[in-house]
Amino acid sequence: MSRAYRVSVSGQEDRIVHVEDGVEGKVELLPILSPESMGDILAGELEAKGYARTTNDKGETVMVKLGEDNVTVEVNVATGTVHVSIAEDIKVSVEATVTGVADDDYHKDPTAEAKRQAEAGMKAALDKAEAPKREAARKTVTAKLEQELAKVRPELDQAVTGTTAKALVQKAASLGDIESVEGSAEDGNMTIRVRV
Amino acid sequence: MAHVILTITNINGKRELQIGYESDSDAMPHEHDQDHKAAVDAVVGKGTKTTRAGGSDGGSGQLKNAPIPIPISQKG
Repeated sequence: MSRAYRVSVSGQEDRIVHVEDGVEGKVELLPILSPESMGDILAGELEAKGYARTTNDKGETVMVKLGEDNVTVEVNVATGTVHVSIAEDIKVSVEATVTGVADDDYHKDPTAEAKRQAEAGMKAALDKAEAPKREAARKTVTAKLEQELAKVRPELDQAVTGTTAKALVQKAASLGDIESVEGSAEDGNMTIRVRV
Repeated sequence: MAHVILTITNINGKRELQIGYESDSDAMPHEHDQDHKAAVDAVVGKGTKTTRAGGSDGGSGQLKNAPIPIPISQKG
């Protein structure tokens, strides 16, 4: 008479999952001055808002700011491309129980064989258990990114407004004699009267 | 003396640039239009798409065109 042996093995691991997310957009500036000059003014505006000046491998100026929650904002002032990204390592705890079955008709030590089977399937079971935790971590990271985007948008908007206003003052000076400037570059409402 | 009036407005992040032109009192309407267009080209370049907001107004011996608004597109 044969007898089947069933052995269940439970496993638990703390794993670090790496999750990333990002969005790309563009700031568009009127070509009031040359692209280089517009880019320089925009870089200055962003520098005043805490962005650091870097250069990419094409030699273009890229303004970079590390925001809260590991969010990085990069603005290429040559192309106007804005890249907001987040990357985080999140610790998750995964658990699984795997059962192995062996018959004493076929195995000399059925208990050991059942245990061996259970342990052999443990890695795959833990990987499977990790998938929903990884998805939850990704959602957490995406939520942080969206929160940061809500702060970045008005900041970039102010930078573009300031850039446009400053470029316009420079352009006005090149057209003729500036008679008056009303309003301010900060809020982007300004009237310049130029005698030509 | 002629004047170029540059007005930039920012309402909830939507920016608009208006380029107005006041010509000399003795300028003819067609001269005024030409000069206004030249002023727009000088500010934003010839390739930029602009929108005409209105026509000439000959009040008080001075031509004064309605400004040409140029919306500045923006992505956030």
